[in-house]
Amino acid sequence: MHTVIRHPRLETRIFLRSLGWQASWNYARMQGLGLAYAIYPLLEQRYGSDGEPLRRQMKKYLGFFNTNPVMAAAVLGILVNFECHDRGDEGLRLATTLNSLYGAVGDAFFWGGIKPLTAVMALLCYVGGGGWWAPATLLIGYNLVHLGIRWYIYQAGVHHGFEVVELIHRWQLPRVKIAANYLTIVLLGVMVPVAAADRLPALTGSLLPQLGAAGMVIGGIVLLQRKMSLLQLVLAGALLAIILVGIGGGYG
Amino acid sequence: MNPGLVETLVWIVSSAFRIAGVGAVICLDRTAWGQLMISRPLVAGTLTGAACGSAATGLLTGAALELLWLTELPVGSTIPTDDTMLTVLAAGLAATITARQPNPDPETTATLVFLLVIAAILLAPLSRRLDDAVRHRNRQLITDAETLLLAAAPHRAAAVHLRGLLHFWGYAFAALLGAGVVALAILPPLFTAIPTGIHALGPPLLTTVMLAGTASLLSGMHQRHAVAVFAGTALLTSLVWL
Repeated sequence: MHTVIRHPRLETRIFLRSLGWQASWNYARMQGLGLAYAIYPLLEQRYGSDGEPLRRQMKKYLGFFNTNPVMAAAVLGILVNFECHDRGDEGLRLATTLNSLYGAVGDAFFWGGIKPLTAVMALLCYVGGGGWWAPATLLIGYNLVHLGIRWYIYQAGVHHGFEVVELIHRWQLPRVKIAANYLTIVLLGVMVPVAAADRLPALTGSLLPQLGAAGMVIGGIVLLQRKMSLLQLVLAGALLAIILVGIGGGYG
Repeated sequence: MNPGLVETLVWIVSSAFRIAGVGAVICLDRTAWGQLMISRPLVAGTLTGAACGSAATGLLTGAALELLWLTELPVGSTIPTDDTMLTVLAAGLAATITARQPNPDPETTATLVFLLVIAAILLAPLSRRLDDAVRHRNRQLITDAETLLLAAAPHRAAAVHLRGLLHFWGYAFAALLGAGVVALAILPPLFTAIPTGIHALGPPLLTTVMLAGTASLLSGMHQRHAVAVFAGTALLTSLVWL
């Protein structure tokens, strides 16, 4: 077996390869091949570029693997750490346990918390006349959190192994997600009147378009909960807008 | 052949290639590489619009579509609606058609975008099926990687993973190209047939799409008192506005 030389460049290379983690996502092994691809440079360094040990170890990484792609960075870091301490098999067993946990936590936090929050921040910027700043807000806002956490937990996993689990636990991501959701709701409450003010039929000086728009949203929630489809909701809203244009005699 | 017809055909095919070329790369960010949110409608729409001659139209389209499917989460093997592909198609078509008009006014553009948003909602189930097809296609990659491992080529076995990028790109490119050609052949004459009086409805109609998206997001977040918090903030904002 070759001597392990852990090197920042190798660590960065593995991290960059992990950004394409899901390119080969499939129903049989999900992210399994992605994991093998990401960690391959380390395996090659440890077991040489050819030979039976490398093939045997790589085969193990080709198994079933699925978790949230961002939180996967922590699992990958742990695997790198364990592999460097000749505990690769143990690392893979731990990864199996962590997958479902980080899948649930990561999906809820990133897809259900940060993504809606930054999207609504960007839309608020757009309806407020921010123009090109709107997509920039989304990209910068999301990636500050996303890439920051992704890189940090990967590094923590590589250097401290399983301790990263305790670190992530201390962050209380499910609670942060709930706070992010409420902030999103507040921002939506600001966005809707701003969007409606000069876009929906208006009676000058009245609150009708703003409150009418908020009322349409609440009505929409009720209808969606009663199993109305998105298409039906959009068409119903459009019909209402047409009627309001008729009554208001224009918009703006 | 009629020179006008040839010119139109060249415009249709070259525009569809532009939409597909740019769009398929943007679509990679959704699942295959990065998840840097370049694939969010607001960003994807603006980039596609810029590539097709009108970034502002792309931004308008992206803003309308941003919230509609935001609560659909890619949990486990669940495939959410591919709002990236739908946005790229809608924004690409809207920007291409708008850029061809001599003096496009905002109301006409908004009406066109509204119609494309309706088309995008209708195409949502197809986008999920396409994503599903890529993931089934990727199944073969596991077999290929294992075969290469047995053949003592571990480096090539690892590299098989990158073929998944080609699958995601290829499916998106083919779908966008096909849909782009058909839509560009049908849409412009259909759109000019709409009475100009109706165009004034564009901006309020697009706003209702954003309101429907807001309702969808609030409904899907499943937080206690969400409606009360929303209504209270909206009322306060409206009063401040007055």
